[in-house]
Amino acid sequence: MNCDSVRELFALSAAGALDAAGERLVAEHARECASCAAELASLGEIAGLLGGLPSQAPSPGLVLQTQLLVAAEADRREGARLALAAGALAWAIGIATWAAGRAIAGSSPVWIWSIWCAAVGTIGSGVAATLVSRRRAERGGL
Amino acid sequence: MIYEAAIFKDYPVAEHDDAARLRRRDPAALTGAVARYQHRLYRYFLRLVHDPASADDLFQQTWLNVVRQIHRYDPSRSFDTWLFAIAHNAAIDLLRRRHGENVEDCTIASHMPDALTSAIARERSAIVGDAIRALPAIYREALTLRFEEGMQLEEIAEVTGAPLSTVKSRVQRGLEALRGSLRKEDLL
Repeated sequence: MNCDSVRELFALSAAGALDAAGERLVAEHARECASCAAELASLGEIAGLLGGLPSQAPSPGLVLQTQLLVAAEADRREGARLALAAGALAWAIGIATWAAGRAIAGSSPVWIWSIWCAAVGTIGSGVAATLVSRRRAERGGL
Repeated sequence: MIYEAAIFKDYPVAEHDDAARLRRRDPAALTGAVARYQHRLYRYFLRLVHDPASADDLFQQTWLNVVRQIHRYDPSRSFDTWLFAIAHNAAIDLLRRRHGENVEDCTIASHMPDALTSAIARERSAIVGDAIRALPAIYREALTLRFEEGMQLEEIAEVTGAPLSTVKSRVQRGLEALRGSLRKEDLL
């Protein structure tokens, strides 16, 4: 393999992205060609430098602020999910029990059904609020 | 293999238990992940966008996106890769909006900024950092993910949504461009 062909592999070798056959090819060529060996070494040196670059850390304030934002967003989504589930459950109970109520009380006017659904909905909302507050307490007030 | 550095042992990645807790949006797991990934994620943003104010914004935006999209995360896959893919999308959006930054520009800067000339007396790593800044964003990203984050090329392809062959080409061209720049500075 000539120098031009094998040099195309040097950057990938420096990046550790060659398979065993490729690495063997590169190593064999570098043993026989001093200029290619120097090329390979220079890319390896850059790879080493890249791995040790200094970097600025995020400020503690940014990390804390992000943690609070993330916790608040998670809490908001959890609360919304629970409220939706409790609302759906309350409606399901209201509709299911209305049929039972009609069977017991006979043909009732609409206002009785409305009062019944409102009562079930209120109970459902209370349950949802309790679940959310319990969940928050379990999470340690985050 | 020549390259051996830059695998971060200091910052443990999410374990499977953590992944399950993250999917449940457990705030303790989420805030723990923010702390655990703070250095890696922030460094990635700084390399891509340069200025700390934008990196701060991207850092917060990325974590909010994590909370919103965590139900899409498959715990059997790498959380690192998933997280950095979200970070990548946020950073690329910002770079595209930002005037004068061409994300896809494949032309390498033909000369280093004047600031680099005056920085010759500084540490080698600082010179390399400046040289990286002069590279197009796609090369900066490929190099930082490979050499600073220690990601495999396949993982970088997943993060960036680019084909593996493109990622190989970016790493290759990025390294070669960097070598050209550093030679001009007599660093190699």
